[in-house]
Amino acid sequence: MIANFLNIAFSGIAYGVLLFLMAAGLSVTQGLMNFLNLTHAVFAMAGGYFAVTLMNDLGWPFFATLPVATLGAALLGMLFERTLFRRFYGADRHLDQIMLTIGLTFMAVAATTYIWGPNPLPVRLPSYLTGLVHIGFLDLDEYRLFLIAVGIVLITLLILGFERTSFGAKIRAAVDNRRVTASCGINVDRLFMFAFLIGSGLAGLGGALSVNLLSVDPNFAVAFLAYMLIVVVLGGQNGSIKGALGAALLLGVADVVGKYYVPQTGAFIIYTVTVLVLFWRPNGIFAKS
Amino acid sequence: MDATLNGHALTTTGLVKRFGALPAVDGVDFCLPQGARHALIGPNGSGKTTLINLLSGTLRATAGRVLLQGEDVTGLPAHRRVARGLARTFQINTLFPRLTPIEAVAMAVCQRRKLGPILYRNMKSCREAIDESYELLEQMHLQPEARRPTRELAYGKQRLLEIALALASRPNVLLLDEPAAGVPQHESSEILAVISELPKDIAVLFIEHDIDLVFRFAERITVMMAGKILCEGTPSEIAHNQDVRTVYLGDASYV
Amino acid sequence: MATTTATTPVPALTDEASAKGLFAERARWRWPEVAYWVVIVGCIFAFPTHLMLIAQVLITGLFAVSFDLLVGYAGIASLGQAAFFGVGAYAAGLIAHDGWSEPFTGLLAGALAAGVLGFIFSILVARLHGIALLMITFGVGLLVYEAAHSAHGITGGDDGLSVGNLSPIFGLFPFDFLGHTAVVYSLVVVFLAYLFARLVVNSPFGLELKGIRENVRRVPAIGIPLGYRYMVAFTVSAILAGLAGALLAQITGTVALGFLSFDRSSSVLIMVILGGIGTLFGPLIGAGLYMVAQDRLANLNPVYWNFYIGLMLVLVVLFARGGIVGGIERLEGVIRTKWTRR
Repeated sequence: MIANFLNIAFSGIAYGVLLFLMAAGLSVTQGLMNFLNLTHAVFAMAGGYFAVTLMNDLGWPFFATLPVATLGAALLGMLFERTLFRRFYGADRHLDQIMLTIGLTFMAVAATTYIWGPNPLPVRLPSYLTGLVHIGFLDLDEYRLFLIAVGIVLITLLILGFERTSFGAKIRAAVDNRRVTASCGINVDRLFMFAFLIGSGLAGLGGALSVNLLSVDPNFAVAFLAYMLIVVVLGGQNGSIKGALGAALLLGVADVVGKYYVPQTGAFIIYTVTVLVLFWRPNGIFAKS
Repeated sequence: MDATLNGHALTTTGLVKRFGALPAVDGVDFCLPQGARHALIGPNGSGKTTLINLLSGTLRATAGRVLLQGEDVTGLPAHRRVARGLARTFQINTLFPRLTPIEAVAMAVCQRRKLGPILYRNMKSCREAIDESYELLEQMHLQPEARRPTRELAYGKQRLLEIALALASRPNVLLLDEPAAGVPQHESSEILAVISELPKDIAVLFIEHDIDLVFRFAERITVMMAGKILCEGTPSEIAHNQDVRTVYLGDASYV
Repeated sequence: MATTTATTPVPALTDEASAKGLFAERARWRWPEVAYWVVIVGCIFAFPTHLMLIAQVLITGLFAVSFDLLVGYAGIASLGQAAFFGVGAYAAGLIAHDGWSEPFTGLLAGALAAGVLGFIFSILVARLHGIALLMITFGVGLLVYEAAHSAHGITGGDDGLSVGNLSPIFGLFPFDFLGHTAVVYSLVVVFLAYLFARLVVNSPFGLELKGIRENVRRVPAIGIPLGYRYMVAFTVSAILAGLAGALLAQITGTVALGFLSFDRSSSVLIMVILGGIGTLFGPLIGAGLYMVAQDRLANLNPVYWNFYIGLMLVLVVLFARGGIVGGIERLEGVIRTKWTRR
């Protein structure tokens, strides 16, 4: 019983790590440019599709696909940002942002269906990643262990980068007060571009890493958008990366636990809890007021 | 507290606002008499706008009390304070870009006349409200632009509309946050005229950086510094006050 | 909302009269608005084999109008409007399913159920902005969908609910296969609901909604209680959406989960944007075009449909923000200036 629960919790943590990687960029762009990017899940989806296509059609080894997927998603994000998104930054353009990004998501889903077909892509991972690791009385999934390990590394780098580098400081300053930051001589426009690059790249990486766990199909961009938004809204508002991590882990565990113990109503419970938490804490679980 | 007995329009006792560890307003005791013309000055960051936000209810106080016409309004949200006669303008124009002046003012007038919740009657039949709105625009000399979308108005006109919106709720206390800020010279005379023609029964507190304006209109001046009141007095008292000179001009003294 | 400017030439009137007359002008019927209703009635006579489609055009139009009230007038972009629509549909469907087949009761039930949901929802919404507001609308939409999916004992789950036969209206007009009664029934209900929406939008309350849309910060500083206004706005919007859902359930005879789906929420957003946000009759036109296009292009691979709809949305945001109605007004402006130059 306990072993079962721990296994599930472990699964949930791995899922949470994935969700964080995919949603972190959304948290930053929402806090930084006040831009509601509903296309964000498309970047994650792109990462997954790039990785699987390279593996299946070109025979690339899994690890080699990861940097390509990340870069591909990052470039896609930068393309959208430079050509379209940057005209619509700010709280008073929220409706335009929603319309624009929904439209782009529709186009992306349609294009993906056209190119790759509507069915989930088959994924074959190297054998050293698929298997079980025995720790004490637990049988842990190798891939999920790998995910968590990678996740820890990336998250540490991310948080350190955010809090210790000057780039991170500039981002935090711009989130706090864009006008003053700009008047300090910081090129806020370029800051936004790099933030977008990193955010979508991370999402792409998350998407590539998720291929073994989540279905690689065109509906990804819509199906996971809700969860990404929940992560940002519950913990990652105003660019709070650590909050996003906490929310992602909570959500990951809650989802897996829910789907296991109450499969019929799992999603319903998550959405209800989100709505209630928002009512009680409009700025997120971890926010101060 | 004695403050309530003196019949002051607006009073604060021990008002504090902290943002995290930062006390933007740090224990302010302030009185605004009926019909006053009172200026609030101080260097940037001294807490003036925060104080106005606390008085208007836009921000909730960390500690202390705000009394409006002797009644404790500390816990009341902004819109309730407006109903009790407190109105304010914003330092940066906070207007309705695509609405016309007559619509914006009519909105405020209708709210005052308790027509706001009515959804089953056409606006065009609210004649008295419309007439009143037009009169208010005339007072501000905005009536030629009554049908132009706000975002097409000149900045000075927008500033006047800010004041018109505040006056539409017939306040007895008016808080003006830098009414002439950002207005070019040739447009500021209209704003000055409007301020000087404000009804005498309204108590006016205004933040201003333009010292000429302050000395022209203020009967009393309060100087704020680092969230506290540094000193208070008539214009000439303030002009000769050594502390004020130090704050504004440094240690050198000027005659 | 017409973008009348001060240069609208009316030389005989004084400034005062024209300023005060702005509200009456805003409330006037515009020619595309009248044209829509004329065309609809015309189509009923001209296309007697397509009556069900016309009825659906009307119903979707009402749904779009309900959404415009929120997004175009109050400025709240909701991704969960289908929740109200679906709840109304299921309420009406359940009543008929359980044996009470009087049509107007079904409408009432639908409107009421949706209204209650809208009211509850407004309490949640009052303190949220930006991404949190978006998420809560999205979340409620998904939540209601999942609830309906899970409660398949009541809702029929994936199979849906069959509404069964409705009694004749007033006991006199039975519903027939060809849809004669259905289309007139829909026409009357939608038209009356539209008149009500129009009244709301041109009332003092409607003016305050526009204020909320234009600058929500300023509104409390004028003395307007935001929370109460949101409550009314959401309740009215939900009632209209629920009415539309109930109508659709009644005339098609079934209710399914698709009534509640995100797809429906996003498509109503598209219709409103396409038609012209904040105009009330723009969404009617947008809904009409969307439904007709969908009907004509039903054989088209959905991939193409989704792609072009998405593309159109992007183009509208970039170049034609006012939608069709905005385009018409701009055209009118151009024609007017060309005319006065002669």
